[in-house]
Amino acid sequence: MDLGNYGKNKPVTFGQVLNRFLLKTLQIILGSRIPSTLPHGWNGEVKNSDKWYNLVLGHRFATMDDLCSWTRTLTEPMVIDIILVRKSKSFSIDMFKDVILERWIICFESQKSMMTCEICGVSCKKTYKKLIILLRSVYSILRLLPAYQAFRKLSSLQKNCGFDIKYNVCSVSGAFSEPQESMKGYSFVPVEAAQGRFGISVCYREDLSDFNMDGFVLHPLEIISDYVDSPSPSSNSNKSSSTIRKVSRDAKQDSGFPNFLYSLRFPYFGSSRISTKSSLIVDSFGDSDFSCPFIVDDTDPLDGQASLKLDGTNSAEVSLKSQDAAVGAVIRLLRNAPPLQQDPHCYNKLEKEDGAASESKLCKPRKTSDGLEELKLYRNMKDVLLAKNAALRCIGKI
Amino acid sequence: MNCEVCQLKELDVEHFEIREVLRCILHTILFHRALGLVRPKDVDLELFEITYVQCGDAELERKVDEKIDQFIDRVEKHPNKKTQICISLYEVKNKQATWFTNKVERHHWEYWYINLNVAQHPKGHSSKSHSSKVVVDPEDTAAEARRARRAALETSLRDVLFQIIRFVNEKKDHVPSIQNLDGMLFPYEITISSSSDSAFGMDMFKRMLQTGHPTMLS
Repeated sequence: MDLGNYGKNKPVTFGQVLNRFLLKTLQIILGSRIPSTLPHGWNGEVKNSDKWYNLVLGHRFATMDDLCSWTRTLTEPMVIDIILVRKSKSFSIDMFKDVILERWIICFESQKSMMTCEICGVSCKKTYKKLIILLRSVYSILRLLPAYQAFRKLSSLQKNCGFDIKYNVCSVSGAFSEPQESMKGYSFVPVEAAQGRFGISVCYREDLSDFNMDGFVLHPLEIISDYVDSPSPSSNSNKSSSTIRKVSRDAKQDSGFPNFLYSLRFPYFGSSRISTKSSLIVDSFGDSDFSCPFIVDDTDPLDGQASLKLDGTNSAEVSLKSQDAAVGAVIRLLRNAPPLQQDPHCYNKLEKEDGAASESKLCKPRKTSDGLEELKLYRNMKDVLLAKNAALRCIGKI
Repeated sequence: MNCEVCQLKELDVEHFEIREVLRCILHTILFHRALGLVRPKDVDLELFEITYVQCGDAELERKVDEKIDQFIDRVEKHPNKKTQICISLYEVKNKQATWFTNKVERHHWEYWYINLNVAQHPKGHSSKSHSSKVVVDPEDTAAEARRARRAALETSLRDVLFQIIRFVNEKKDHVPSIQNLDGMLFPYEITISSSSDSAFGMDMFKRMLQTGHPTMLS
């Protein structure tokens, strides 16, 4: 799309250039990583909005329209995590936890009080040309990074694949749960503009051989009717014990970033876990409002794992008398807590497992009594934790 | 306006690998210089686990394949010479013919030199080595050596693609404005040259400085 010819009755503003840059980058990345974004029965129709940065992509996905007004603040970075997620529990425990394959950070550093309504002049058009080149190289490099092979495998196997690739978009770049040495970085040369600087960088997992993705193909269950040899009971229990010990160890050894907090700090789009920023402005090209409260994920990846004991029994009963149990109770409370922000215009959109969007629903306003009940619960939790702490101190003094 | 030059890392290729390698490199360069409206097309290499991007233009594909055919012919006719392929991008400065000349002045603003070191095998022998059904050397060590060589070439080809991406990101100021871009791509030409000695590249560079555009060597 040539800036000079775009909507001759509508002059292009710098704010649009920036907004569309972020959108196009998101579209390029997700189109190269998330199979569910591939068009089904796309008739090849090209809209004006597709022509931005002279790169026509056929990818459409539900959250794209919602994310059209993502950067209302414009100066906050857009962090896109590409995450490998296991789909079935029948695989090796080693492949149990979700893994960040790539983290893309797209940012604009404003150098002065930026006027987003500033009409694009000669300088802006030069910037636009450089951004076209930048986006070309992002498109190319996405095909050279290791995660592309995972995307291709998933695209070809689809439902028969034992893993899935999800994405997460937010403005917070939290700590990796993986060792840093497994990640490699690449930064594109920033594009300087009169209004600020555009930057794109990526941290990516260099080696995916640990995941043995060829072994992720799902197979139908078979009953071996004439199986002769069977392992001895003792070897079975040893194996299950060692497996359980490994699960417990893994659950505890997430390097400073437990999985249950992951969903709190990383709002999710394009998966079952959704949350966004609130109070966004309508894009002038007809993109709809999208504001969502912060919603805690209600699926705890540690469900059934952290509670396993070394003897293999599942301790479903959590006693409030133990400190660990109290912590677990707090965690469950946080998981089930309603949204923190109660914007009357907010809504949340839940996606089904196959990626299709379900109906929206409005958040219900909370009453004072709800808040008081919650406060009581927090007080009880606090009392339990303090009592336990005091008991431990007494024991220590004996 | 500045003229930027990029000498790509030299690749050691077998005869049957020339087409795939050149397609990959040429199209990658052109994709990054096709700043007009493009609907990108992903292409998987057959010999390597690499996916590169084309502009999705049939005419461009035809022209590139034509040049690759010329390159392969040149290599076969002059197996002892090093053959180089060059993409140059230019602006047309003067379209109007004068009384004395019809010469159209081209101002080149970028040169890409692709260097392939083609292993010298007889044509018949190289085609046999391409076939998976004909066992040229039954020994495991020879097969292992071929796999290692192929893996090294894949890594090197990937390095070249990253080199292209780095170059286009580092050098942007010299790229002309796209306001008057006619079509998808800046005017370009692909030239094939060969030389028998190591001064080949320097000859090309000197000629470029003197005349402002490369000439075809016979």
